Amino acid sequence: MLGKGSEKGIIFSTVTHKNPMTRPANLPDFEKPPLNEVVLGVQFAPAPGYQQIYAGQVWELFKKDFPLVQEQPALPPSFETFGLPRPQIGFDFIGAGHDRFWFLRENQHELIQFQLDKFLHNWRKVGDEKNEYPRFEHIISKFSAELKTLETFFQKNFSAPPLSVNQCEVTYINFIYESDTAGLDLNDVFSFLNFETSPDEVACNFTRHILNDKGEPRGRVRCTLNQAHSAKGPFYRLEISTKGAPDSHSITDALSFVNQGRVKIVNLFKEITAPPAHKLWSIK
Amino acid sequence: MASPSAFSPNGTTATNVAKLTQPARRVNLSDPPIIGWEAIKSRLEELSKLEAGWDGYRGVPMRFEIGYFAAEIIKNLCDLSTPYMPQIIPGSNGDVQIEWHHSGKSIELHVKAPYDVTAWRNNDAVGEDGEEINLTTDFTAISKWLNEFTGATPANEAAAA
Repeated sequence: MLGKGSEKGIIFSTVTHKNPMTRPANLPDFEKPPLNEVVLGVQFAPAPGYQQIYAGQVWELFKKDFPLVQEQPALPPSFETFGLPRPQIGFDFIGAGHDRFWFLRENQHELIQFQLDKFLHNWRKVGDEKNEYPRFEHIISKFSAELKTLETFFQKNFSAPPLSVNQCEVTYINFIYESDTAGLDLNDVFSFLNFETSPDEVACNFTRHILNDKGEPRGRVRCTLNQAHSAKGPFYRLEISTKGAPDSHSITDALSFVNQGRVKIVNLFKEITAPPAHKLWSIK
Repeated sequence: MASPSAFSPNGTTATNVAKLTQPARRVNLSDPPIIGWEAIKSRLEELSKLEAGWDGYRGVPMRFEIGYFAAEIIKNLCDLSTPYMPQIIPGSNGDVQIEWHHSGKSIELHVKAPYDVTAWRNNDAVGEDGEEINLTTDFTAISKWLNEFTGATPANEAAAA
């Protein structure tokens, strides 16, 4: 049993579209979305026998398309769980024993992030931020192939079992520049705001539970809105993510979670933004 | 500009090979230490460093993802000021048991993998054989078990005496 929030939880199985490679017909579609970054990712059980010294071999799998590399601190494992509310504390009892590596395309529009227990694919705007969003279907198609390549690598070189995914995530990060929304007030951009006088500073967030077809919680949708500033000027940073456990540990179910998470994100984006802004972003 | 998500690298640039800019091995608590939590962390670290064959047979150290999932469960379940912080017992397959024992009552969570947990308890109401349930993501039932378990705190027992 969950708290009140569960009554408003989202049931994934009502989404009948499960083929990640084709766009659902009824999904809101924006010709010029304010997207700045999209992240698809999975967390998995480390392959037995694999150690960081083999990370160069993993890079070799993707080096042709991702010739640049950076080393980053590892991200700690994370799991979406549910219980009675308690004060949350941050912790890490031990490091991953493996750094996180970014494998980047020459133009740096896309990158793979790899560490002992995580694999992510990012698309992002860079430079003058005019590079075009290649669309979700393109990104998940690449991500799917990359995951299978990684699984085969572990199986072939370490006699590892199939990749055992325990957590999936999708994140859409939107930069809504004030200069792009000139003439609109805050209420014309965000449908959940109704100010008589616009505030000087804005920061808010909320979550919704993601339920499976038995009504059990499997993950969360998180939405965060705050203000930021870049060389292009001030903007609202709207981040929407879905994160949770797939129905099984297989890559197929992981991709299904990612695909359904994307549907939730796009629908939520339309729900919490307002028609005048939709027009600006050329809703179809 | 707001800090981007940890997994969101936008705004950075890459050279051919960049050096690690900060140590990654250990991260300190971001909040003030809480009595009991340091002990939990130390125990989990200890179990992750067990040597192969630690049990005299073919025991392996606690699996990385199981340790973190166990920590997540404890974080969600425990009021960290409770006098009943759990014991953490290693299993030979890299699994762990999280156990609370007090006044003849027990709660035991067997964490076999992330989202694969068997919970068992005994008390006067359920009898010696106890009660067992399987859990995946939702640990609300265990929260209730713990609330019943901790209802008999030493202070309450003293007041009742």
